[in-house]
Amino acid sequence: MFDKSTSNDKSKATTKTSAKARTKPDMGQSTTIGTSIKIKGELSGEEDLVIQGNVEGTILLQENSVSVGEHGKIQADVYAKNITIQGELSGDLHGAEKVTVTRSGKVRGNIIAPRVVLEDGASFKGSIDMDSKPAVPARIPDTANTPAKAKNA
Amino acid sequence: MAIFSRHVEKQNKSHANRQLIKSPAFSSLWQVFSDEQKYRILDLGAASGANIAFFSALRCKLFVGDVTPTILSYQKSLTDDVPASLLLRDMLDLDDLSELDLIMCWDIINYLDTRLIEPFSAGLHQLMAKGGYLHAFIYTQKEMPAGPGTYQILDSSQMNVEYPAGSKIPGPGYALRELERRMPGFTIKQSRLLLSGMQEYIFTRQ
Repeated sequence: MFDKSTSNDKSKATTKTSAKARTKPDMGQSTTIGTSIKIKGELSGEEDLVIQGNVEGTILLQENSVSVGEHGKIQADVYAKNITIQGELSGDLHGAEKVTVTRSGKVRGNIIAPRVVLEDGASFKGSIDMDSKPAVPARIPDTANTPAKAKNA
Repeated sequence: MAIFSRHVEKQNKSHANRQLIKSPAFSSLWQVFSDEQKYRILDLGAASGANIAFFSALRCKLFVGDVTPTILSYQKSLTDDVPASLLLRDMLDLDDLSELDLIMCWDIINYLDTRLIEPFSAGLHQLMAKGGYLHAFIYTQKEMPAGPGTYQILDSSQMNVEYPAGSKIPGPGYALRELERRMPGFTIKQSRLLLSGMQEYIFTRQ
């Protein structure tokens, strides 16, 4: 599912998935969720993530960056250090450092981050709060010690 | 997957007209805001990176409503049965939208059916804190652009406006007293006639 070399497999997952559980954490590298991948549930891990597929649920990568590529379609709340949206997202964005919506990006939701950049041509409807500390989700999964296990979302 | 309700065609920007306008009233209003307080601000227009960057200098929660197309679409289906108050909260569909300190209502009043101005202002009144400000531009000339413009704040005293292409249409030409009469619950705090042929208004919510 989190394959750095290929993402052409026709897969559909309904799972709680830890990126660390699938790939050894490798700072500076990113994992890509390909265009044909659909995930429902909770995504967490300790490396950067690029999403070109569909994700529904919650994305927890608080020490890392999340990029939603031009083909990405997300219905999720995202908690990350830096968040970049080039595709479509419906949900709340909690960026510890910065949230960027590029010219091809479409966001419907609320942005909570100290820095927010909206490029010309970007579409956004919602609220922006640059004066609040990004929220911490109610429960952060212990990805360091527990292996990934299935969760019916 | 259509997760956006934006259902009005985007303006053909390659044929849009751009104009620089001064905003002296907005500039004086900007002096009122301080770092001591956190403000709640609503932009009824489409999202603009320049406007977000401008308001980032202030401690605020900025709501981007992008509601103009929805209101104009509603207006097209208006019958003789005009509501007492527009359900702006439903039209805006934003969380936590109340007690607003400032609303940017830059161009929409010009394009409202006259019968809707009172319901529209009643809808805004419900969203605002007492003493909150409403900033608007109203055309005083006989003609105005074919559709509402997109406003980008350059600094507190000037803005860029991009209008859709098309023949000009008759402007509303509301006089100050007429606006006051049609917007009960608001008083005009400041009004400036601009060289661009617009009147810049700051209303306060009573």
